[in-house]
Amino acid sequence: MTSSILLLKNYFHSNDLLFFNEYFHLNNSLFYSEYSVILIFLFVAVLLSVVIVALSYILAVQNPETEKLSTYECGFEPYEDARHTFDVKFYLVAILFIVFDIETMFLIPWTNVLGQLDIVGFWSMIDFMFELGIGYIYIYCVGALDIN
Amino acid sequence: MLIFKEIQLLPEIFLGISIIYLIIHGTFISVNNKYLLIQNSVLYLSVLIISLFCFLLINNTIECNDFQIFNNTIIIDYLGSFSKILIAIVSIFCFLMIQRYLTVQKINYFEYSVLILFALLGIFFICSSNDLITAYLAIELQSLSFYIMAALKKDSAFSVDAGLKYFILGAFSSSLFLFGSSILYGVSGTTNFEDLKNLFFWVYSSYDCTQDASDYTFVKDVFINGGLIQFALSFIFVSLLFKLAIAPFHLWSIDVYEGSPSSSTFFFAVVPKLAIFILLVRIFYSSFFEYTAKWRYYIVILAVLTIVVGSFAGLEQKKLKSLLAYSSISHMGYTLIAFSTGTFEGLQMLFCYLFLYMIAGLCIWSIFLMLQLKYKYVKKQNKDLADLSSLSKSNNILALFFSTVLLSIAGLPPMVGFLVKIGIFLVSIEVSMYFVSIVSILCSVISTFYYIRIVKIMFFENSTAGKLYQPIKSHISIVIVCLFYFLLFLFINPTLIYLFSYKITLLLTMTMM
Repeated sequence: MTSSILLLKNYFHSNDLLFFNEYFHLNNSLFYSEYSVILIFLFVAVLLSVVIVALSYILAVQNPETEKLSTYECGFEPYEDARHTFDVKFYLVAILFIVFDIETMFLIPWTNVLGQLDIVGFWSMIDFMFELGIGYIYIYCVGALDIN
Repeated sequence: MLIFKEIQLLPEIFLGISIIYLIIHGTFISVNNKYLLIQNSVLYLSVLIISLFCFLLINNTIECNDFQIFNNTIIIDYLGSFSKILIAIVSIFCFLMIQRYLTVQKINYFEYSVLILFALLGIFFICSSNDLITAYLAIELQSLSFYIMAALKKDSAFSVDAGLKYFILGAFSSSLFLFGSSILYGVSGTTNFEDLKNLFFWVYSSYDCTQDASDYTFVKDVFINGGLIQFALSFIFVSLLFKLAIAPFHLWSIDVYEGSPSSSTFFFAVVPKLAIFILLVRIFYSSFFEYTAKWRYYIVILAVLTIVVGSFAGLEQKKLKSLLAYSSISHMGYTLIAFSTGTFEGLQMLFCYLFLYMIAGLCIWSIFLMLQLKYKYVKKQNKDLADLSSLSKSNNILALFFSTVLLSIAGLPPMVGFLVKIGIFLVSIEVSMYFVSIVSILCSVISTFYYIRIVKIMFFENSTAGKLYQPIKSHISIVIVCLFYFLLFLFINPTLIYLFSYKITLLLTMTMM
């Protein structure tokens, strides 16, 4: 029994897998060794999401009714739509956060290597922060940071 | 005197510092209790800044050598310097033309002029970029300023709509550029145009020296022989064609040109095309020249499609802005024919056509901005063609100039547009693209119809009463007169454009070998 399995294994390794290996260089390919983990991760993620959604659809008891699906308004009938127009100040806050967050992100590696940079490296970062500071002064004076 | 190499970038550094100063200056004066309107003074200050930029640039111009600075990401050569000077001079005239329009349309933001300066800074960096990352950053700087300029008129739904469409399409095309650049980096390990040129300029179809190493067949077939590189190059190409509004990627430009305020459309139509073409030339003539043979025929198909679309779709336009938008689309088709030839003369004709396109575009859009209806102007900023009826009776000279510039754009002698169009067809015949030449000549004839229709409306319309126009100040009309004279004079003696384009092409191809 074991000898037949060994024979099968030998046959498998000898012809097809060798050709496969030699063409795609799977043994010593950086691509394969680095990215195969990510492929497995992708498959597991997709599989998990599909399983969760499918199980929740199959196993749940669904008896929809208009009263159950209507919006909740704490006892009485809702008299207007709960959604209103999106306020632009939220978007503005998000954009400004991104800008200053990116500035912080550039500051962090600069502080790490500042000891090895010459004077030009120091003043480049100071110039960058100065320009973003000008932007901040503009925003403050124009009034984009007011909540009202 | 060269103190250090990076001093070559002094004009751009000056522009950057003056933009920063202008922001602070505008903010602290206009955000007060009095809310002073400083948009006029900031506009004239911007004119001053660009003139000083021109002066610094002319001071810095290198005649026959090229420098690579900032770790080889920026190249200073004759092509970049000349195009920067041309774009700066054209934008000075743009600023002077739009001053009256901004006052009438009540665009009271001083930020408008600052945005134009930002866009110009981006364009100047595109002209002298030597790296894919620098090119992408400069394209984004220019594009972002243009998105805001398209949407700045907040009370007009058209303007906001145009800005949104421009933003979505522009961001999409920039992402395509990034995707192509990332694949190129993955294949070659560098983003520098100079290094890519050293790697890929001559790509031999059979690597005889490495034929014995059979381990590398997969790498050779996929990476080197062109599959993956052509894939990446096609993404970069499509992204830049999006920005130039070439069919079938032209649909955004009609809505954006029509909805934006006319001063922004002035900039969109005239200024950035030269910069994007310079970037195209640097990537496809200087870095990846051998791949020209592989994609030439597909680009020619796109060029013919563009010319056909621009000619046929312009026939049924009733608004002047859309007409000029379609005409600029078809002009980009002609330049793409010259671009796809791959020869020395093709490159020279490309630059000739682009210079003439900028000058003729400047003239046409200046006339468009100068014609302001006396009544109901603010509500109806986009002119119908019928508004121009019997312009010959109210302003004979302006009608004459308008007709002359239109016929120059159409390609009729005795204006210089005829010479550059003939040049494009000559270089395409030289590389045996006969069918392309025939089709584009026929479409050029078809597009002449809608130029002549404007001439007919102005001169020969049988209407009882034309529209009244505001009088034009004489110091603005000097620009139109000078450009009109240029267009006529250059037909008699086109040496000026030919010499500049020849010098540019010579210096560009000399450094390739």
